[in-house]
Amino acid sequence: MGFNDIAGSLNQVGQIPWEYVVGYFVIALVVAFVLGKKTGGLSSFTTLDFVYIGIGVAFAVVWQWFIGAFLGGFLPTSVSAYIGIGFIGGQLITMMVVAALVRKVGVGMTSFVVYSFLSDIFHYGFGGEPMYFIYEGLTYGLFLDLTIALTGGNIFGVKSSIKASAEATATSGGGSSGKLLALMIIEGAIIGFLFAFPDPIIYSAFFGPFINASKVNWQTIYRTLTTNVISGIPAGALGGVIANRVSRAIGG
Amino acid sequence: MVETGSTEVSLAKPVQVHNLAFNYVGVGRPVLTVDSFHVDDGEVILIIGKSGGGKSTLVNCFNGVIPHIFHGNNPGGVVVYGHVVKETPLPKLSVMVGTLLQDPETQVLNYTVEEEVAFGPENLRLPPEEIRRRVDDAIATTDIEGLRNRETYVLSGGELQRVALAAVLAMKTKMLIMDEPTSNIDPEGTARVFQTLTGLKGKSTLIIVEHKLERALHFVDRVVLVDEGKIVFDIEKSKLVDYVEELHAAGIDVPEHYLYAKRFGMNPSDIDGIRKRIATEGLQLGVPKRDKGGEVILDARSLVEVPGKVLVDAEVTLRERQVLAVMGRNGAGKSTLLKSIMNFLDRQLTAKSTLTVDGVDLSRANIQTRGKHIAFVPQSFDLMLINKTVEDEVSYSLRKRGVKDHKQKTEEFLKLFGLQDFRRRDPLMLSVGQRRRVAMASALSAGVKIVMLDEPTSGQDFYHKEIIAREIAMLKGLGYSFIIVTHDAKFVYRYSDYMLILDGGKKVLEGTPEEVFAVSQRYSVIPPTEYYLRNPQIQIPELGMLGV
Amino acid sequence: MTLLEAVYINAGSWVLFLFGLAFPIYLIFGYMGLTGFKDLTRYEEAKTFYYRLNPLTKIAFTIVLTFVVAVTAWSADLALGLIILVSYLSLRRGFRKLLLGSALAFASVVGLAWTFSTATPYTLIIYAFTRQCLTVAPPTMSPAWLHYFTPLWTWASYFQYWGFQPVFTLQGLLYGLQVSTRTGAVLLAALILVMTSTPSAILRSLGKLKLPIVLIFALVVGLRTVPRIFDSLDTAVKVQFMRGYGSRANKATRVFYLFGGVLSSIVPAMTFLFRGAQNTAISADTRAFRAYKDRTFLTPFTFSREDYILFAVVAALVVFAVVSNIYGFGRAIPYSAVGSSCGATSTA
Repeated sequence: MGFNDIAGSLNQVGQIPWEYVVGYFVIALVVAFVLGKKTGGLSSFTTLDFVYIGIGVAFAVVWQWFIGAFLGGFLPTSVSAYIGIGFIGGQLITMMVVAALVRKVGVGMTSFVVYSFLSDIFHYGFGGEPMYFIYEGLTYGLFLDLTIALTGGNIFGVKSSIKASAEATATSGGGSSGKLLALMIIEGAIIGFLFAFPDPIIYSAFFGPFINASKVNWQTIYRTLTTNVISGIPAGALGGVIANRVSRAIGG
Repeated sequence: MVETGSTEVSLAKPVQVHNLAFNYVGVGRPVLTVDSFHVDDGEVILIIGKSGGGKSTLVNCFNGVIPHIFHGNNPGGVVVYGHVVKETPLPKLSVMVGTLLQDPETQVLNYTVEEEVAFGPENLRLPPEEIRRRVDDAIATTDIEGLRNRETYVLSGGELQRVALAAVLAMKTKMLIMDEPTSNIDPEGTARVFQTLTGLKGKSTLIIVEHKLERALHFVDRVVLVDEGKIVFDIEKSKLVDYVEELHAAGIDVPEHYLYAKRFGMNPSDIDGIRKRIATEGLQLGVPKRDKGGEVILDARSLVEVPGKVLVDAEVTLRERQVLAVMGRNGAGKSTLLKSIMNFLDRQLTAKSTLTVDGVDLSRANIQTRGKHIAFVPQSFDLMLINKTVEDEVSYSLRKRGVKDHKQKTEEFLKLFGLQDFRRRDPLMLSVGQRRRVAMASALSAGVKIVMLDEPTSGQDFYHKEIIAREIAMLKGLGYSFIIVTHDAKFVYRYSDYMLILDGGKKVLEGTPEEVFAVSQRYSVIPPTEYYLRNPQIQIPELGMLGV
Repeated sequence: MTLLEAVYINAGSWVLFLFGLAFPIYLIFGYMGLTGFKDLTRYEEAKTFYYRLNPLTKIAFTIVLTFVVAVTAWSADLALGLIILVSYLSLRRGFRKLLLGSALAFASVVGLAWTFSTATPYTLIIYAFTRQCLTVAPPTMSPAWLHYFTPLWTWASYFQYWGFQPVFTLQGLLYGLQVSTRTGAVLLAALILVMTSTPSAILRSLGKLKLPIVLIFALVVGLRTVPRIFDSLDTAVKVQFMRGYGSRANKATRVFYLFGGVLSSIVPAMTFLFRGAQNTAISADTRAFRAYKDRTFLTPFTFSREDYILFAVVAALVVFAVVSNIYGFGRAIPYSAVGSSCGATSTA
């Protein structure tokens, strides 16, 4: 007998070979470390940044657990609350908002680690930890942080928007210019696209069997991936616009 | 790294400011310029000024919020207990200066009262016995023993603010800054906060920031007026009466008796003497006009219960073109009453209510149907703003109710509330005042004639209150009727036609403000001084209890 | 196929499909409401057994329970879930929480079961019930297929594009129910932690595990914000109703309007709560937050008699799981208790 009936065997038929997964996480860790070194990591975070993370994560949990948990049913491929509306709202859009408010490398990973803990306290009861926060932090979280690093902190054009609206305070402005809007949509869509992958590829095809003894079913995985990409891209684009809007309303 | 509070002895002044010129990053001109200012040990100072005038910016330079949280240029020149604020880390400053903020809901961050009070000492890595001692002391000083193990989530605003004060006191700082500490709480809560502060007088240096002169005046030594980023005057309290013009010019609501005190050369705290003098001089003070209103437009009877407790058992009658004010202690059932009229109650509450509006029985009607007749603007009006432009926000209810000429109606309401220039703007990006107007316009646009406002003046300064009052008067002229829940006795005295007081969920008094204020003290509703000036037969309570 | 048959199949398929969606929604929104949900996710003070436990003990209980539930038969999981549910009676306002907990667990089970019972491939169900490894299932409704399955309903053909199996079967339903039963017990146990330990106590116990104080702080803020989110959403949705949203709703569609209202309220509620963030930060920073890398605590970290009792229960659960597996009452569905998974290869 082994844990969850997999008898310690890591490489089940159909499962992503563990070497690949470990390889990904090693590279991700190195990237995270280099990014952290370059930007000062969490020590550059203010208390306000952590308040934003706390509030944002609370929204993610409420959305995922309350709104997404059953609405996932509208998407036929959903087999758990991790996918579908819960995923799009809870993990994608709210975390994009937090990233737009903080705009420092590390916010993505930190938010997902905190999110993972809060979800545990509310729902998952610490089962499977610490696998989840490593997984979520180094996939979804890292994607957000890479976007912040690549945009030089101007994620979803927030910095440009705040500057533009400061310059146009007295005029009728305040809205977003076409170029900025395109930027929010494209960046958001890219993040939405990236967010579509970890759940089917790393979770369903590796961690699922590993932690929960679920069955690797590539038909389901392809379908989940397709729906996640199809729903993730527009949701990400929408998230980019929402993140920019909320961030501007708060005053950057 | 950090010294833990009272053990540190310093002979330096609490605050010394020289040549301070502060501007936020990206803003060219300084928002605050102070050539010289100081605070002596044990002093109690009141800093007044209208919102946005720079008074909070000034005290934020003392506690280190500027420049350590709000970044900007050149905040130099501020020294607190011998430490240059700019160069002293915030944790170190936090054992010298305590800060109590306006909104208790956002500053309390822990789950239970005791944990909230222990938060600061725990951060200082004090031993558990010392933390326990400080927590016990702070809880005793603020008289919140009964709340010790309660969840902060369930407390009223007044209770929360006392918890926040206890949490600051547990830091055992030598100086306390209170930034509008009572703006969001009821008169009883206010009185209790000031009661605690009175006990601290002489032991700590206290700086109170307020936009209301009257509230803290009786208990301070010095008064500082800050306006347009500058200190306009910095005087002993006794000289304040000579500066009435400056106060007026800075948009401060000067208590009426100050004007007469100046005219008669009297001490402004002798209100009884002033009103006697007014009588002997034969002066006739104008009395606010009370509108009797037209036909009864709303008749509601609410009985709301939780198992074992009646929350509200009261009847309300509102007449056309009348402003009805509802007052009472926190927890008296005022907001529950409004919610029961609107059918907004939590489902765990049992409500047996009847409601008739304009002759139509709405007792069994749902929220949507009631919303055709009554608009409710909650205190957190920001939660109403769900559309992306002001225009869409205002037209929302018209569209949802399928009103045919909604474009024209939207136009009317945009104009009525002066929002035409903002029609394409995102409501979320507007200023607080503008957002409040958008919320009002969009609540009213579907054609209601009854408006219920929950604490519309909470946290607002004199200028913004006047705007609200003008808005209400204008709408009254157009045939609207209002039910307003508020703690603001002065606002009620000046602008309401009729009022009622709830206590323990029951209506205990009703009538015109003149009638009700005569006996309202027994329910912790203290009339404003201008009421006492006009009603010499009414005994004046002690100064600290005066309603403002 | 006649027109009548087509209408019958289509209408029936949609009714069944919508039932799986609507029933949990009705239970959660219709029965529990936002307030009920709030009551199940926040701490209220009391002095009974659960409240006296150290949060770490409860966390350990939940983790072990997750493990036990994962390796034992579904019937045992159901029984554990029911026992935990009954223990809700010892909570403050216990009966109400028992009803709310039942509704939430039931909604979660139904929602999950419906997805599993309609989408699980036939080969997997055959394996789960008979341990026969088939690479391809027999053609639907063929005698060989009927040997394994009792058909209940044939879905309209296009449902397959959504990942549905062609026929809804009794075995699929049983499989779905049995799989989803496992979630109930863990869900109910995790809620006990949230309802009986203050969030700060939970976090303090995590602090003992040397989690950085900034992460714990973010969690404290998150936990305090959750009830505020429900309050804000509640007000925002009701104000929309007042302004005419859902005027044309009837009893059947009202709940969907409620959901739409919640969706439109999220951005304003977020903005509203984020606006207060600065105050929260000032409040923490002016009380020496982050003065040091760690903090001391007012309440000492202790284990009481009650903790040892629950530790005994935890140990008993582990023994129960081991014994069950030894005697063949381990995880029967979807995996066999003994032997390797269908087609698995061992590299160990």
